[in-house]
Amino acid sequence: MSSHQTTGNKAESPLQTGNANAIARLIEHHGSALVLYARGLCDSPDDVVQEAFLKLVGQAEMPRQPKAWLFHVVRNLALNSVRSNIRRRNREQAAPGVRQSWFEPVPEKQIEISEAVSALSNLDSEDREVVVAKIWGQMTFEEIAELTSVSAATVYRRYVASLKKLRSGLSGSRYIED
Amino acid sequence: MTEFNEFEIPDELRQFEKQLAGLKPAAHLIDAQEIVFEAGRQSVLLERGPASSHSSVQRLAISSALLGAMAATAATILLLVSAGMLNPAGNTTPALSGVAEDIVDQENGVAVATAQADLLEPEELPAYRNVTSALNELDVAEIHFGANSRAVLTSSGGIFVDRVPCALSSPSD
Repeated sequence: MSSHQTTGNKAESPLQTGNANAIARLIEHHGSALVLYARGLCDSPDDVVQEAFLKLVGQAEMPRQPKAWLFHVVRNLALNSVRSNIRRRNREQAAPGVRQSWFEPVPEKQIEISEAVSALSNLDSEDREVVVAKIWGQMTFEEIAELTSVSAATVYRRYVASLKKLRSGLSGSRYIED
Repeated sequence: MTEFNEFEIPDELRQFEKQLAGLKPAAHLIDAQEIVFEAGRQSVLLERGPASSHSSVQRLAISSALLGAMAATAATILLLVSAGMLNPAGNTTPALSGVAEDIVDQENGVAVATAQADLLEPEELPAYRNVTSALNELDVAEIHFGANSRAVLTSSGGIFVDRVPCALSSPSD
């Protein structure tokens, strides 16, 4: 059984009274990371994540792992969105100024946001997906493997290789060298 | 879930990984209120069940999380107008009557109800409490506006209204 399948336990249903707060907490805790994840896959990340949450609300039972479920649904919706959107190339060539909206500005940053976004954008889509899911989605390699339908070992290799690419691409930033 | 040792991150990348994680994703533009609202609506429908009568609807304490007091005010008026219990042209206070008329004139009932709630003056709040109290006396917990829209009275006195646009008509028509 998939780890994000439903539990069969109606007591955990998001539809039960009071669980509106649980939904709100999921939005608060994972909303931004899900949008960042979707941003790497499609042109309309906020809309995709909104739709994913509405699908969660429409579930008869709460998924066993709501976060993994949400990432899975966001991925499917985003990929479907891309298939029907011929403007994808425009997104990939978006100006750096637009890309800065990927992250919140931070005063004492060690990594320049614009450089980070540029480096992330230069990754292959599959690699970027792994990095975002791992770092900002705080998912395990096993969860990402299930999400992307590859082995955990493959995810791990992609992740490490992508970190090296990113580090190389951020040579101008003030990140701390080991 | 525990990571396998074979998936450990090389030491030379750990610090860089932490610094990347220090970048916070930009704030999302998700309409959380709409999602929570939908969660409440689903909750009502689930609790109600297909065979329940209106009088057996369980009144659920969801309004405080879903609708602010003023939105609930306007939704109450909307419900009363739709139920024929409040005539926009009838003997109500001027502000309430005006709000009700504005709502009836619009097609997107809920959006207008929310917007129009801001028109209520503080002195109208006692009237709001009165209509809410009166509504609580009813043995009707759900009123349908048509095929796709309905309002549900909640246990805390709030109103839960579908966001499906609906064309309302004055009960005096």
